[in-house]
Amino acid sequence: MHSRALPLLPIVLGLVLAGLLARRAEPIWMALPFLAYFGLGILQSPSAGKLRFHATRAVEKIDAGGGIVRIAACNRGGETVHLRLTDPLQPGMRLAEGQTQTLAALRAGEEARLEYTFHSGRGSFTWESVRAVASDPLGVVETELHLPAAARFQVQPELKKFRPFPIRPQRTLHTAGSIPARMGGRGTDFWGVREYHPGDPLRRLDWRRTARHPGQFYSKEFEQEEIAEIGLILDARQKTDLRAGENGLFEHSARAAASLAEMFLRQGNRVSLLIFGKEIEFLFPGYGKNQLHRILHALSKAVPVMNPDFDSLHFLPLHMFSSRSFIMILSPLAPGDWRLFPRLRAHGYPALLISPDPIDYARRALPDDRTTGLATRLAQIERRLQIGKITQLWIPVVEWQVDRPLDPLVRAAIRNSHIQQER
Amino acid sequence: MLRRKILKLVCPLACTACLAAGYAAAGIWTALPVVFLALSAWLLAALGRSGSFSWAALILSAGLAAGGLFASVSFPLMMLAATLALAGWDIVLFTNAPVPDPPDGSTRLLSERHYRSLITALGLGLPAALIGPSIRIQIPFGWMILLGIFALLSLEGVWRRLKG
Repeated sequence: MHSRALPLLPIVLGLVLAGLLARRAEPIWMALPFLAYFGLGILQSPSAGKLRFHATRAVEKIDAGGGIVRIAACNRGGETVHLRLTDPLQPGMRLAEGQTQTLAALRAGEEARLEYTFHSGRGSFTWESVRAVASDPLGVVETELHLPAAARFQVQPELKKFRPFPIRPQRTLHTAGSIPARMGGRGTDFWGVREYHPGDPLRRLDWRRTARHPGQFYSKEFEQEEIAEIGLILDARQKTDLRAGENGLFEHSARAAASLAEMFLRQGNRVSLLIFGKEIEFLFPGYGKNQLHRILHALSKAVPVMNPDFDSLHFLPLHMFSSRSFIMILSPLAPGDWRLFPRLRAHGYPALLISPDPIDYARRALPDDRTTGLATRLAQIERRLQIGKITQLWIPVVEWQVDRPLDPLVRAAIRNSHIQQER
Repeated sequence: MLRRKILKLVCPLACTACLAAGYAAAGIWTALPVVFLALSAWLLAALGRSGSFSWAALILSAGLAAGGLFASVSFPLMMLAATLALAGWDIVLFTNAPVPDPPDGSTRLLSERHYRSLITALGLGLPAALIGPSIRIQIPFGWMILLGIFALLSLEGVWRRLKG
């Protein structure tokens, strides 16, 4: 129990003491209205043991980044009480409409309602209870209660629909899909000609070659198309999350990861996700909408956090990905992170690095002067050296200035890597 | 809602008017700047700027009223000022409390119960305080000491109950 009127007591005590010290009755008489105020408050205060409330909470999604919270608290006790409901906004929420607290007098069986609309960026929000303060009509005696009213709400990262990328991993999974599997079979692209095997469909016979070799039959082969296993690695270390304004660089990486996952899953591939930040969060490979939902859930919860144990990408546990995985890493790169990539190569993973450009991102928040120019040049040199070490390993790197669309850059990087491989 | 808005201005204004009249009648002009300060605090509190303004206004007004008693300012005026300060403080805090807009049934009940309690408290306290000094009861010194101890213990009990 506590009270908003608690600080009135020093006034009462002050008046009584002043009267006693000055041996005058008037100050003591002056304390009388204050004492009457207290006394009436205490007399009318609801007894804590008889307070019974039941609260419910519903959170309704209104758009991509917001919701309406509706709370109802019903007085299940026998007394009439004054009830103040308070539901403070969680970090990352902005109040759009309504108010987060309300005051009502409730007779037995009546209900107080609180409703507000909030907006927020990507995030996962959980409520356990609602704060209720029951009091007498004057608010002299207040009893604080936490009424269970649990709810969860997620704002998932914004998705952009990418067209499928022409990736050509070394190894694929033996299930029909859309990724060229580097072997003959059923597909659309011509792969080669071989001797006819009993059971080959007649429409696959290479009639020209068969005509040139009497007594022998030849069949055309097409490149098998299968699904691939994609491993997405999202760098959620705080030191790589530059902040300029409301959003940080990590928000762009999270959105890119969500869009890539959606695109690969739409193609029927198997996708896994590893978030490298406070801890290692790994989502096992999976297919379809359920996997997309799991990935979006993990991404909406992901927050860049500092953890000295995971200071460098070098500590990434690669054994979590199967040997057939095509690894896509989303990281702005911190100094020394290039050491991961020789490990990737040594394990035989085909990989692609998408690196949101931290220098370009930070530059927008800095003044355009000589010092900034020099610092930017130095940082760019350092970054170029690091990226140079990665490209030497034949790992395509997408240097992404986050205000530009990502998918043409990835497409171009993959195409260039194919050309290099063919040479 | 309109009644609340009127009351939250009327009570503080009447309180400062009583203080100003009392001090002016006693010829203590030096107190008037402090009264003006209290009035400013009341106005800021009534505008809903911050909860601390209402506290400041109440403490200033109650302090001025108590000070007036020692400076031989009219007792009824100071008593009335202190009571109005308490009422003003209560109404300002109540008006700034978050209530549903437009008001529903529970809001009306809330206002009714609150005003009824406030009027009862002040209606009991003020007449008793005004009439009290004119009543002369001779009690032995020992009884007076006992009553003093009882009052202090009661206040301490109230404090403990409020602190929970």
